[in-house]
Amino acid sequence: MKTGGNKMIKNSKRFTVLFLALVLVILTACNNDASDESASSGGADYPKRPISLMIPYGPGGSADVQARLIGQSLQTQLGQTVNVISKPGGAGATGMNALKASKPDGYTIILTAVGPSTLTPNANNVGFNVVEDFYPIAQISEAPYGIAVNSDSGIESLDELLNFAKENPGKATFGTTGAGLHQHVVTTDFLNQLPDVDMEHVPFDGGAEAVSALLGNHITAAVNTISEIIPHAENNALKILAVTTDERLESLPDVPTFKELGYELIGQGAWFGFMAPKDTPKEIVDTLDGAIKNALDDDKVKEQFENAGLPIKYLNAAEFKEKVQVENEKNGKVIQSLN
Amino acid sequence: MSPEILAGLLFALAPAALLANLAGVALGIVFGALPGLTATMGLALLIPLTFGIPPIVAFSALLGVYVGAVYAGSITAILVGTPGTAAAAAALLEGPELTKKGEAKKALTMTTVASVIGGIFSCVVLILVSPQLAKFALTFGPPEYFALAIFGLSIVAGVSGKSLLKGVIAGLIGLIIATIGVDPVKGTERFTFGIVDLLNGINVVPALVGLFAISEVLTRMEGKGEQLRSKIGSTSIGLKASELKRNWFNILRSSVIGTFIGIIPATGSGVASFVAYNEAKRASKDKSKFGKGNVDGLAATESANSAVTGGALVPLLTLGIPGDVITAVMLGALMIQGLTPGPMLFTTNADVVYGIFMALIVANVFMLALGLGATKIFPKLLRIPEGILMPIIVVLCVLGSYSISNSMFDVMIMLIFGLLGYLMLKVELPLAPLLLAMILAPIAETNFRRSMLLSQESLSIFFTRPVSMVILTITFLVLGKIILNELNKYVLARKLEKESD
Repeated sequence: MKTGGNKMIKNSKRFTVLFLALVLVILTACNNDASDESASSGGADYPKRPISLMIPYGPGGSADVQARLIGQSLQTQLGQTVNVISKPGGAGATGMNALKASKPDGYTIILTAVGPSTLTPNANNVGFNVVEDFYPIAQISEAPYGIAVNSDSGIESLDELLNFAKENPGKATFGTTGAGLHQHVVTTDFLNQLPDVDMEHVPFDGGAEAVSALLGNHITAAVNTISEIIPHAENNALKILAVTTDERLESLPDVPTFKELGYELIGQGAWFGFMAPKDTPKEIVDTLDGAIKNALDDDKVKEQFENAGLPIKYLNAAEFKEKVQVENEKNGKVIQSLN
Repeated sequence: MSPEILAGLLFALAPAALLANLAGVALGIVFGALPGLTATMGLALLIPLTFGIPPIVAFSALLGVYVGAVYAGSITAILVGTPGTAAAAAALLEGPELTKKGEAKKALTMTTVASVIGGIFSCVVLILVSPQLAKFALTFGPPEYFALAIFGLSIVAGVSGKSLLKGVIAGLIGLIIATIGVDPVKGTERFTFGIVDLLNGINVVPALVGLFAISEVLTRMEGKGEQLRSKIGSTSIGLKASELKRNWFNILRSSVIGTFIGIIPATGSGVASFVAYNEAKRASKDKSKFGKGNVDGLAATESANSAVTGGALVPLLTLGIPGDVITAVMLGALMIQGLTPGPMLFTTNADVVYGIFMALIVANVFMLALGLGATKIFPKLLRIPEGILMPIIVVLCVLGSYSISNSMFDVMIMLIFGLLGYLMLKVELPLAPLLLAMILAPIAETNFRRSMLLSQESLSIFFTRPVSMVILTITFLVLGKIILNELNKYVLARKLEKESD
């Protein structure tokens, strides 16, 4: 009994020590938190700890590659580790909601794209609004689209394709990366301007599937990012009829733009950009925006983006905000017409 | 042989490339064997490291991970009934039963040997006839994919176990589960109940891990599962030369099936091994042995899923079309290196292309060496007392399911499917048909609807195109035979009943 009592006393002493140690640890932690808070409100000594960079996609895709390339540069410029965290699912909504729920202190940001930010919330009730809930930091890239046909089809121009569709109602089809995705929305809006052209949309699972269906002559046309179709155009398997940019592309000097053919589009390509939670201090957003701009000016980063088929197109925080607002509204209208 | 090609081959055999390859295979085996860690994750981790490295060294590592992971998914499937990857699901049909019989070492040796043969077979096909095959792959449009998926669904009969009816019920449950998420053509939500995480449907990997691993753990908790620990003999019974010899044709046929399915984009290695298993069973004289720990079945599934690796590189390298997520990640890696896959690659960068071919063969050789070494070590896992091993498995399942998308939602899916699997085992519903249906239903559905869009709603599209007509005719014949067999069984049973009266 006696020894037992001693043991109990000893144990309780040990517990007291442990408890006090725990309290100390918690207090220091809180203290750290508190100092972080005060720092982040001003943003003067930002960043003082690692930054989480989320992507609303799975690992290995083009969002992942861009996040890692820019992340590496941010790391050297800002002197803090940048961790790329993949949050796929919910057509991009899972990642966007995770950002909405995180602290607006600049330590959690996202590299998002046109789909998760302006298409998903317009098509489904996912609990966020890109204009109201986020602070756009900078756009980094925009991959233009092109409309292509199989070279065996004999179709030589966009007008010939549209005429073919007029003369063969229901027979002409166009493939895209998927239902309700950007290529689909942009092309639908384009075709809505031409009521007598009847082209059926065939959604595929990703751009590669659409390209292989076009190569195999299973569909009449396909709308894809340029980098997906250029190799096949060089090989004369596919013919690119028009591109979505305002100006002709350096790599395709003979291919006209939709604009010069007289058509206005509501989107010019698949863009990627950084966003932060709504109430992130402006100083912090400016710091990040500046560092991202520097990263994109780095020759090594430029080369890697070029190799990966990702055209750099930088927009600063203000320009990006404007663009998101405009495209969100236009895309929303087209998506409503689809449903 | 042009000097460029020779240079490529030799470069793949340079020390740096060999080392990268070996490390890749080892990493791949770890990622493949652990449930939930996938080949894609292994590749995604490696890619940033390959930015500044010469392309062939980089690709030696990446191909090593790919080959190693596809192979190793079966190791845990065989030993503890927990497939490491979706591609390894078919290994569950025979693997765990072999382990229960104390033949784990034999099973693992067969897996290794069959995988290497399948892998190297597909490399040879890739090297010799890839441009021709790529053209063939392009003839596969929506109607052909639909026909192939329907043929795949007919395999439910082959993996149903005792009762066809129960197999069909399990398959139908799988079909219903596969409809969850955004409609692939119209974009409307189906059975999502407003849950944002369900928009993309149920993730197959956590579902698979739960279905097979958690249900197994739950069953063992009841104390009814056989004690693995008593089977220390696991390390002594090896693969006999005669067992390998009698399977030469089986492995060859399965390698052809695997390579073929690998070439067709968007079908995948999970499907290949089920098809190969079904064909092996159909060709076998003694069908009753299947499903009870038959090493022949394992030879089929494993050679087929490894043969997919070389097959999947055919459309990637010749057309620049990735057939699945893994090859899509590799496409990204190639492009970062400044190489654009496609017909031009063979003329502009022949050294790199042949370097990649050689690296793939080297990876298979390393897989043989590491794999045979592993057959001695892995069965020792079974000596861990069940009370310790089972909790470790559960922890790995949770970690693995979380890490796929960094999402607790997937952990929940895993646990729900664990419960579902347990209940299904209780009422003796087989699990394999459910998984098969979950994998094939999206392929069948989207391609049926795409076909309807292409044909202006006319079913004739399936019978006016030769490839789709042939596949569908075979499917109907197979189904007819299955139904006839069932009828005969029923009539026979009635007869016996009457006689006993």
